[in-house]
Parts: sequence; structure tokens; C-alpha cells
Amino acid sequence: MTDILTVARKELREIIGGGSGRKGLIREIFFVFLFGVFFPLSQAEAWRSGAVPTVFVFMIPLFLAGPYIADTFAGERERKTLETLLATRLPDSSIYLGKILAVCTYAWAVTQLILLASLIALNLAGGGAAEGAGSGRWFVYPTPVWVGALAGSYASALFISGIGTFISLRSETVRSAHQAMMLPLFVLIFGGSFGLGALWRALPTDTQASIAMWASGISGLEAILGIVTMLLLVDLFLLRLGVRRFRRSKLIAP
Amino acid sequence: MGAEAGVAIRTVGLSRDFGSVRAVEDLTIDVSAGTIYGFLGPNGAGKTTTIRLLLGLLEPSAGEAWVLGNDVREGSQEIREQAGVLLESDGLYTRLTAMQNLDYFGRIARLPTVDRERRIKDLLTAMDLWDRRDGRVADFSKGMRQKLALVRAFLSRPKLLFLDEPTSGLDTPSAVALRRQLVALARDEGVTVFLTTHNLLEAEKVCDRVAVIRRGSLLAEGSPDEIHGGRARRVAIGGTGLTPELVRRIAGLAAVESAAFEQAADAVADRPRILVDLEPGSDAAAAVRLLVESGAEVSSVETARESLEDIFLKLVEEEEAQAEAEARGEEAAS
Repeated sequence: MTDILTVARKELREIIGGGSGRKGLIREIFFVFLFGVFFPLSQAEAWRSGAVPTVFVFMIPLFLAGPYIADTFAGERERKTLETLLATRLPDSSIYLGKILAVCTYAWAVTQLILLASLIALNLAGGGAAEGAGSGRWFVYPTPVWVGALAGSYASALFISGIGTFISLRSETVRSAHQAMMLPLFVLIFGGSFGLGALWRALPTDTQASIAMWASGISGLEAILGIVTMLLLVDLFLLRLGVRRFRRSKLIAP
Repeated sequence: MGAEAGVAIRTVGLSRDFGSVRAVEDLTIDVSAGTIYGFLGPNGAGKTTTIRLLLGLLEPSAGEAWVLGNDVREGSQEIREQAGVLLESDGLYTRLTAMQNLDYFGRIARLPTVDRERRIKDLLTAMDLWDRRDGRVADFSKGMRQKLALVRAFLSRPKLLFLDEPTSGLDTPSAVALRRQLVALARDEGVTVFLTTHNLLEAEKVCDRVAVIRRGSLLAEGSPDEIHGGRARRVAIGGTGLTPELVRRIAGLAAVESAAFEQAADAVADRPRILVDLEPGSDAAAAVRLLVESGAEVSSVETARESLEDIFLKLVEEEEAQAEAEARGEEAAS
């Protein structure tokens, strides 16, 4: 575990500010402002209902983790640091898991900041029809949003990281890794929404009715917990596959 | 065969193929513990691939190798735990500071905090980099980066150092200081140094033994003296009345491998000298006798030791000629 944390610590240092630079922090501030202030104030009602933030806490980590996970191995290869890293005593699994831990922790932390910023923005803006707004009490998101934010965002980051490392390991340059990462992101975001809609419409009417009946008996919290559990199972599979397939002897080019 | 006390590196018939290209071929060497071993060869000779094989970063296609008593196939983790490396590229994280780079590798080596901090300070001070410890590596010159990468290689007090062109990018005083440091590490602390270099003068100065490789194959191996000893001895004969005809006749003597006038740049204008490469075990008597009998006046006969560079070039030329002859033979046979 110490080795994994050592790798993760260095990766986080590079992600956040790249050592002593401040460019990284500016990027994070921009993300927090855009998703945590601008969007919530533009669509206050949808945010207060909890519908939008519930979706966002699953989607934002995909955008935050995607580019960094693409950079992990392709970046080390491009900057010619990979071989020196592989020549250390670090076990293969520590290198692999340490990098994923760093990227997921970063994406998770920024997602929490965005949610917190949105809460502050909505409360400061006041008004609206939601419970607590304008009543002198602080407005807070419903429980499913918090469960999604705390567990779902990490599961979502792990999911894209699990896929992204395979791409990064096979890419010669960061640019090619980023380009390759666009495909799973598009499939997940657009394919997910359009695909599920098309699938729903393709179902027979009585099947639709049965599913709707079953779904109406599930609470928001149960639904989120179910999604998070499924995501974590997929994550576990991807991580196991990654650990098994990550071999330093396959990463060295002639 | 296998691991043996006092032997830091042993390879037996070690080979590595990349597709149809054989990068290392049938390499058999022994590197004694506490010595500096020079691995010489032109670009693409297989030097870097050999280091990768010895570190367990690549699997051998054939043959065996042991490093610090560990089989490279089974014990590569143990090898990397005890080795410090400076590879072709410095491998530094340019977005991090010098201190952050070293702290990272110190943690990887599991150096305790106090020891890690003291060691980093001592090594950075010795390399004149302590004042730049909080500077980003991206802003460092090539020489500074090379020094920092060397500090990283020394950081964990390794038993074995793999150094790929360690003096590349260093100014002369730094290169001289590094050579002294390497000799001291080997003599005083028993560290084994496996270094590749194009700088043959450097190899001659610091290496206890050298191996010359070309296209993955070993051309020669031994101490610099052994490599010199096994080759033709060169003498320089000075005097008056030395003519091209006499040079041609000397070259035809049985004891002589080749003879030529000394290059203009090395010769004193009015005192020409003939450089005579003698067959191993022969002396210059026959050549001197021929000159005297032909009326020339011999004023000096000096042994001129060939540089390792000359020997290296000759070995490469010989190997090329042999490969050409073999290719012609194969063509003729088919």
C-alpha cells in the first residue's frame, strides 16, 4: 500500500499545479466556477430538485479523469520517464494502481468541490420553490445526491480510468491517447442517453409497463445505490484485468 | 553455472530478438563485484538492450543471466531493489522540482525520512545543485539534468550502478569529478559499475574491464591492458632518409602487420617517423635492420601504444570485413 500511495502522491503533485506552477489551480477554479456556479444559477430549479446534480456527479468525473488517465502511461512514454520508473523496485501493480488512485481521487475531490460550490451558490441566490429556499433555513441536496457524489463519482472515475489505462498503455503519444479516449467518452455520454432511449422505445409496451411499475416501487436512494453497486462491480473487473495485464516487459519498445 | 560469490553480473549466451532483428547475440560476460565494467559499442550495438535485459525490463529470447545472484527471469524485482540506474534518457519529471523528483525516488527506495533528506542534501551539495533544489527541472540545463539524474542513481546507495553515457552533457570538471567518484565508489564501497560509453578515453581511464560489442555480438573483452596486449604492438621509428619505398618494404616483412608514415598532424615536420604495427610477439629489429641496410639513419625507436579508440575502430573494421566475406561465401555457395 505504501508504494501505491507513493506513486499516487507524485501523480497528484503533477496533476495539481505540476510542481510549482499555478496553471493547474486555474483549471480547477474554472471547472468549479462553470459546473458549481454558472450552471446551477442558470438552471436553479433543476439543480434544487436534485435531478441535475445526481446526473452530474456521475458525469463530471468522466471529463475530469479522462484526460489525466490518458496521460498516465502515454505521457510517461512521451516524456521518456517511463523506463526509469519501470527500472525501480516498484511492483507492477503499485505503478498501475497508484496512477489510477491519483486520477480518481483528483476527479472525486473536484466533484465534491463543484457540488459544494453549487450548494453555496444556490443558497446565496435564494428564492425558488424548493424546500428550505427563502425560509431562513439552508437548502441541502436530497440524500441520493450525496450518495451519488460520495460513492458514485468515485465509481464513475474508476470506470473511465479502468478503460483509459488500457488506451494509455497502448498509445505512443499523449495526443493519440487523448484522441482514442474520445471514443469511450462519446459512447458513454451520448450512447448512454440515446442508446437507452432507443432501447426503451424498442421494448414491447407491456414490458415497458412492467418495468415502469417495478421502477415506481424503487426509491431514489435505492436506485443510486443499485447503479453505484453495478459500477463498482464493473470497476473491480476492469481493475483486476488491468493488474493482470500490466507487465513492464511489455511496455519497453525496442 | 549460475550465481557465484564475487561475480556481480554473469551472462551466458544471452540473446534478445526483436522480430527478425537480433539485438543481443550470444553474450557471455562476467563482471566482478566492486569493479567498473565498460560496455563499448557504436549506436545500435545492443548496449541499452543489454542493460534492459540485466534489469529484467526485457525477457531474454535465449541464454541466461544473473545479476547480484538473481536470475533475471525470476528475480528481477530483487535486482531492481539493489540497482541504481541512469538510462539513455535522464528520466526526470520536468514539471516537478529537483527536490520533488529526488523525494519521489527516495520514497520508492523506502529510505527513512531523516536519512532521505540528509542523503538528498549531501548529494545535491556535492553536485553543486543544492541552491537549485526548488527549481523546476524543466528550467535546468542539460548538464544540470544529467547531474540530477546521477544523484537519483546514487540516492539509494545501490550495490550496482547501471550508467548509460554518464558523462554526456557534463562539463569537463564535472566529468572528471564523476569519474573520480565512480572509482572511489568501486574501490572504497565495493559498488559495481556497469557503464556504457562512446568516450573510449573515459573507458580506458576508469574501467577495470571493457567489452566491445557490435550488432549485438561481443568483439573483444578484457582489461584495457589485455585488449592492448592481444593486439599488434605499434612502434614509431624516426630518422633521416625514410622514403615511401622503405615504408612499403617494411610493410612486407613477416613480423610486420602494417606500416605507414605518421600523420602530418602528429609528426614534427622535419623529423618524419614510420609507424609500424608489429605482429603479436614480434619486435622491431627486422624493420630497423632493413632501414639501416638501405642507408637510412635511424635516430629513435619508440613504442607507441595504440589508443583504445584505434583498437575499437580496428575491431569494428575487422568484424565488418568478416561479415562481408561470410556474405560473399554464402552468395557463392548458393
